[in-house]
Amino acid sequence: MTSSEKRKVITPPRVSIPIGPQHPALKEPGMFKLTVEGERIIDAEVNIGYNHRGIEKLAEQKTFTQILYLVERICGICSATHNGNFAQASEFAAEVDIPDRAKFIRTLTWELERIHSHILWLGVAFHEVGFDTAFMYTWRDREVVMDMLEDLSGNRVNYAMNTVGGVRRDVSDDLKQRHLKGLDHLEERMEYYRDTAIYEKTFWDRINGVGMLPTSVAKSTSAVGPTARGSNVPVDVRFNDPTMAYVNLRDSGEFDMILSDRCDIAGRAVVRVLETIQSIQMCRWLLNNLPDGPIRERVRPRIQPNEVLARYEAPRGECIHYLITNGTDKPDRLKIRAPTHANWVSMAHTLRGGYIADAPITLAAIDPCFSCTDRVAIVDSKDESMELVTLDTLRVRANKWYAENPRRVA
Amino acid sequence: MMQINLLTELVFPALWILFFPGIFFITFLALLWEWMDRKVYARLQNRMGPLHTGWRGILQPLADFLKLVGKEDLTPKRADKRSFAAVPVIMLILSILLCMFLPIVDLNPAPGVQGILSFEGDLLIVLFISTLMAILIVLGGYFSSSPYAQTGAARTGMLLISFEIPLIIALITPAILTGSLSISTIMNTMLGTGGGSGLSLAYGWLLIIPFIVYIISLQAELERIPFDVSHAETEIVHGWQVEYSGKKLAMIHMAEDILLVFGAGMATTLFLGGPFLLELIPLPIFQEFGLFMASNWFGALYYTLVFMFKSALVILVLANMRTLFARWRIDQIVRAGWKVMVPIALFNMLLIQIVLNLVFPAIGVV
Amino acid sequence: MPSLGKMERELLKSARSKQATVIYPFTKEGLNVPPDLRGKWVYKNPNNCTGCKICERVCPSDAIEMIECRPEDVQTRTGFRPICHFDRCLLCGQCVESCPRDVLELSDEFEMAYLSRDDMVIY
Repeated sequence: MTSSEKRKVITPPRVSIPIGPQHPALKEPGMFKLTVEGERIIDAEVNIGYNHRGIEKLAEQKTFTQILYLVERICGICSATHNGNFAQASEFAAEVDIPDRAKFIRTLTWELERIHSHILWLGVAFHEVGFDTAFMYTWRDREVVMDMLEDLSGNRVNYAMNTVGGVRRDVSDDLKQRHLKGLDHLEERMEYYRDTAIYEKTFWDRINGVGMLPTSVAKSTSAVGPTARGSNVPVDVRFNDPTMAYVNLRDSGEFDMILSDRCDIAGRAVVRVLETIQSIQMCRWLLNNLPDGPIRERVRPRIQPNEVLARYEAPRGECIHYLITNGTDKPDRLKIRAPTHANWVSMAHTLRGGYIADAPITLAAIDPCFSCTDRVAIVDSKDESMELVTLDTLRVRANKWYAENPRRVA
Repeated sequence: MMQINLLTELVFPALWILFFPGIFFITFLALLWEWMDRKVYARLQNRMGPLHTGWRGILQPLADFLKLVGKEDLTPKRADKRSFAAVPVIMLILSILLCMFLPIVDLNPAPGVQGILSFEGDLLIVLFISTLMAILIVLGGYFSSSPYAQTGAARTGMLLISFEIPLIIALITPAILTGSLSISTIMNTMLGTGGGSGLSLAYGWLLIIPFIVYIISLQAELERIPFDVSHAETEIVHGWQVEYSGKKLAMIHMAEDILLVFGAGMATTLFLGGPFLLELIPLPIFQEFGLFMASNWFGALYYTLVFMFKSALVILVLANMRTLFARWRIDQIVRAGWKVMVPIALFNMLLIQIVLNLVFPAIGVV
Repeated sequence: MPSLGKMERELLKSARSKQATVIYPFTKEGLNVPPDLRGKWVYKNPNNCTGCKICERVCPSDAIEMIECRPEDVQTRTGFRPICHFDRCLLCGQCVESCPRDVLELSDEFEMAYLSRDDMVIY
């Protein structure tokens, strides 16, 4: 009898479930170690670095023109982001002002890219919760904007529209008409998603109230982009610190920053859908108000010593290119901080306390782009020290580790 | 004399069980339904679906099956090997066994079409086996000892306790109406096809709610969207199936397809009037047509086609449901199961008792 | 507001309408390849080449190599002409843009799969 007096609290065993590096929910390698009790996530740990390619180091050995095409390949989705932002950084460093038409065309490419990136995100979000029908529809409609970008730049993914001092391709009247038609179609479709598709109950139940990121936490973890705006934090470089034709867009007074106070994944989804529609309207405005003139300014290949920071609101958030030039045709240092990198911390917060079933959509909700992010030094999670190590040191360490810990045979 | 006995007593039943409407035919139907399911799913998503294998890709499920059979078969080191291998085999056998109870055609349809296996109380056996299938899924997940598979198995368990009960109640309703526990007898009594007059059409109204409950629970039982939590691809890779490969996976897929045949077949049999269509129209010419079919070899063809037609309608509904929804979270499913489906099923049970005992005598329905 | 089965009408509509799938290798209809696609690297005016090596210098991926003119080639002023190791080319089009004599072009050919690297050297 005495033994049965004691109340026994049975907790489900703690299981550690790896999501990644290879996992159907992740399109790119990254690892999230979830400690779960039953279906509840107790702890989440983010391990990245599977996609390190040494692009920043490589950039120091290339000329500015060549780096344009290198940084473009950091990420397929935001190729115009990095390409345009680096061009912008080099122009700031060279202290040249590019023609208005070039500014407009560069912004147009950026906004078209935002449309395609947000529609892609919407499709991925549908797919993560098993709503494959809407996924198929969104990606079908995304083809329209992909075709438009291909029409504009000559390639579906790597647009290579920008060069130091302007843009490389002009917008003809025919192209403008085709684009206006495409934008009409897209707007109609996006309104359908805004009004109907995301309100399908099974989908809405999965994003409503899931992955909460309160405004205070979003601020303290420095979330950027739609993740922050979905938590009612007004950060949008396009409106806070506009460059290029965003100045004209802001001055036109027709566009406002889109915010949501829902703080959950639904908020981020709504922000993205609304932003897509806003982007479509921005594209239309840009096309209709396209100034005449040259599209590029000649910039000397050697850029004077300078230190600049270029900011641009990528589809995923604020993208920063920090550039040090030294008077040669190669940069001294290029540091890129992609938006996803700023969002990891807030994401780990949103994962804790949720269900495993919600982990994929929570991961996807910041629209992670691993290839953007993984250019980072080793961070020791225990004492949070950070160190840069060379490949040789790494190799020596690896050999030592394997000598000490022989590979387990099952 | 011996020869004839051998023919009628051994060869015919053997062919009956092995080919038509037995294992071979059921497998054929399974592949056909999978093709149809995929095709409808694709068309509703504005895609093409299988296209290149056979006429409009009709052989694609077969090609997939054969491909899987030819693939390397791996067993995880930590898995319980014998049980791990046994699960797909038992699943396949049980699913085929389930289909044996479906009344599709009969050698002698005059006293009503019977299944290959048919006896009083087989409805209970069917319910028992369908629960057993679910337990097998749980076991299959646990035997493979992978965290994904175990999570999937746990989710299957949760899914079962919430949707097995509405499913059983929905299937029991026709039995209550006819007072029999044999699937074939229930069908024939309702339709009046095995002699007897059949139930009045008023009883049909009582079957609408159970039918809807059954279709929804069936979707859960078959683990299709919105109830596909147990092998949610983006969450737990492929759930309890994650460690299965090669022949074992082929068997599991085949078993799932056969369960689809069974599920659609049960809906056809108990709610949609089985393999009868034209006989049900109360006109003399159709009655004669029914008698002609019942006494003739053409009947076999006719009954099969009608059965396939009705099952195909059910498959259409199921495929549409699969397209229409996102995947529910497991807690939402359990909530939906216990707060919506079970009360509806129980309430309907009560309603039927009231109608049968009070309303029908009052308005004079026999 | 959220409700079940919101998209049913759209589903039935798309089941009736034409499918979005492009059966690509069998037909190229619906691919919408624009005329000024940045496709395969080709010579536009091989006779104009002076062998100035600008294209080699600007190439971000070292895809262009200057070789000595073979007897069957056009003899350039410096005696060198560019070839493209197409496996390394990233189709940025910088060589086309930088060429002062309009020698090179990215054509609209987009089917660029080969079985070996040797097949991908464009002379």
